[in-house]
Amino acid sequence: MNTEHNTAQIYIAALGLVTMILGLVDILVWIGFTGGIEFGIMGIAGDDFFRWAWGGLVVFLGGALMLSGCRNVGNIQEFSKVLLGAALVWTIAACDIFAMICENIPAGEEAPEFLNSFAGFVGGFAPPYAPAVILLPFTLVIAYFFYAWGFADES
Amino acid sequence: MRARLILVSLLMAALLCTTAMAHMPGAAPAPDVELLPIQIYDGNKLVEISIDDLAAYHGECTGQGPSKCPCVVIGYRAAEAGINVLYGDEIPERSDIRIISAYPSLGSLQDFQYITGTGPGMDCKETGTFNLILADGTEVTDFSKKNIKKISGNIGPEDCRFTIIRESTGESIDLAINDDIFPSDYFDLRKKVKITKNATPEESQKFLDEYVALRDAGLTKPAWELFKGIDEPPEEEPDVFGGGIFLSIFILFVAAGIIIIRRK
Repeated sequence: MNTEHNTAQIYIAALGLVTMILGLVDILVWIGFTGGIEFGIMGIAGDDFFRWAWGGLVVFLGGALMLSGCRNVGNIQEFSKVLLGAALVWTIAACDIFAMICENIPAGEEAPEFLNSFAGFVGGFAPPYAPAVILLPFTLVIAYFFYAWGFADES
Repeated sequence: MRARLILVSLLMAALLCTTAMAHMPGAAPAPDVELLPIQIYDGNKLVEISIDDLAAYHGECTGQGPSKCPCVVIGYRAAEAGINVLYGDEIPERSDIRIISAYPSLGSLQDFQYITGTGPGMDCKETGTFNLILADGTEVTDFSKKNIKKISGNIGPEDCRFTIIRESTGESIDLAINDDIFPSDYFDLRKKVKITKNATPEESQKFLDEYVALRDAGLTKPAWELFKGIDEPPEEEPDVFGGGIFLSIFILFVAAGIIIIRRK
């Protein structure tokens, strides 16, 4: 195993752990351990079952897959677990971003007009963001590994 | 047969509960709205006081079952709004709260007694202060149902005033009900229906309609629409900068992804 793989292993392990924790927090907030929380640019509202309980479970399992495959990332079978874990996070993040886009197109409930203003549309993408959206750029590194290490050609 | 009897009994009990909850015979049930509870510290214990707690306490004191009558609702909203203004995100100590009301109604009076922990049957480690001081400056200390009913016979919307005081800093806020909240004939009808009991059926029905509308307005309107003294929070400007950064990064990533996939 080369140094690049070692570094990647540590990176993926850390990312998997953080992902698992954030997925668990999503679920705990939904259960009601605490009200909605905001931490820096991250926010967990915990108000919707599908998004926070189910979505949290998907993110948690994504983290678990990353952790389980991080021990030997040079091996395609192990790396596939890591890639699958990242794909779970991408799925939730994509849902969150799609929801943001859809929510920002119409104007607010009390506004007389139907469509949002341009400033309102852009402003709707301001923080806080769901954990999966924050994790998204970090998990894209796994896609880079997938191509850089030749797994894409192998598969 | 036994199952049917149980079912009928349960249905009757549910009907009785509805009547008790209404407190005003014939009144429609209160709308199901989520009002945040008032949070206070009683000693070291965090206590959450919801509108349902106050309705239950009012019902317990009057012996008529839980009731979200307009006075309970208005008292709750006044206390909630006043505490929010005076404490912001802080959670007050019960002993730090003083409420002065000029409104002699059992509902609001018992709200304030419950919040300050000064009411009968309350088991609190600490107590705040509650005073009922009428518009003419007379302090009422006899909170019996009979006496309050007697005093409340001639009240009007101008009596619906409350002062919430933060004892530790001396800060206070005066709240008066907005002019458009009570219908102009509400107190006349109330007197006829509840005090002198000489209302015609039409007047009783009109009072019932106004009673329900007032209660529902109290439950659903924002505090600044209910009370003079509360400013409407300024509308938040959209964070175009923050949103713009996210959108730019997102578009860059998507564009890069499309280019990479096309090249492959």
